[in-house]
Amino acid sequence: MDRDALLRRLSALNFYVIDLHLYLNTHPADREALAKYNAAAAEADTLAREYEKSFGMLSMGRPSQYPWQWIADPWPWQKEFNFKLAGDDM
Amino acid sequence: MIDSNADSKSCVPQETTITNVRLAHAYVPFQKFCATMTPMQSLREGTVFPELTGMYMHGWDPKPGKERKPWTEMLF
Repeated sequence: MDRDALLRRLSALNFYVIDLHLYLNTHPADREALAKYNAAAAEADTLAREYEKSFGMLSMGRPSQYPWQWIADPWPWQKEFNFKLAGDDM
Repeated sequence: MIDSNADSKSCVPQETTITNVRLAHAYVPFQKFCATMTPMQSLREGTVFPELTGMYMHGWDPKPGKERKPWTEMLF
């Protein structure tokens, strides 16, 4: 996956994980929901590591390649940082 | 679009029996786990659960006859 595809997939997975997190707060014994949560969280973790190998840290406290990646462009608030939504039916 | 289950046709995502309901007591049915949408579809809709998708989302057209399908029709 290229950078945009990785970031898009990661954003989708992170949202999926957050919403199942909320569901599980009120349904802690739901095995099916928990299985989906764990699968999505594991995939998000794998993708985050893959992203950070090439494109820098996703948040503070994450590991960095050499040289220190935090100060590298683009910054998250710059247009180039974010994946394109065009053609993605948004 | 829908990630889950083979038996989703028969899965109702909320309890269906409410008993001992008295006047002016609000009650919200407890959600049950049925199908989930794919992560990308969930991000677009703002929820993982098809039954919780609302009318205020992309593709919604307020004109008569263009209303969004209810979730039951989205699923099946």
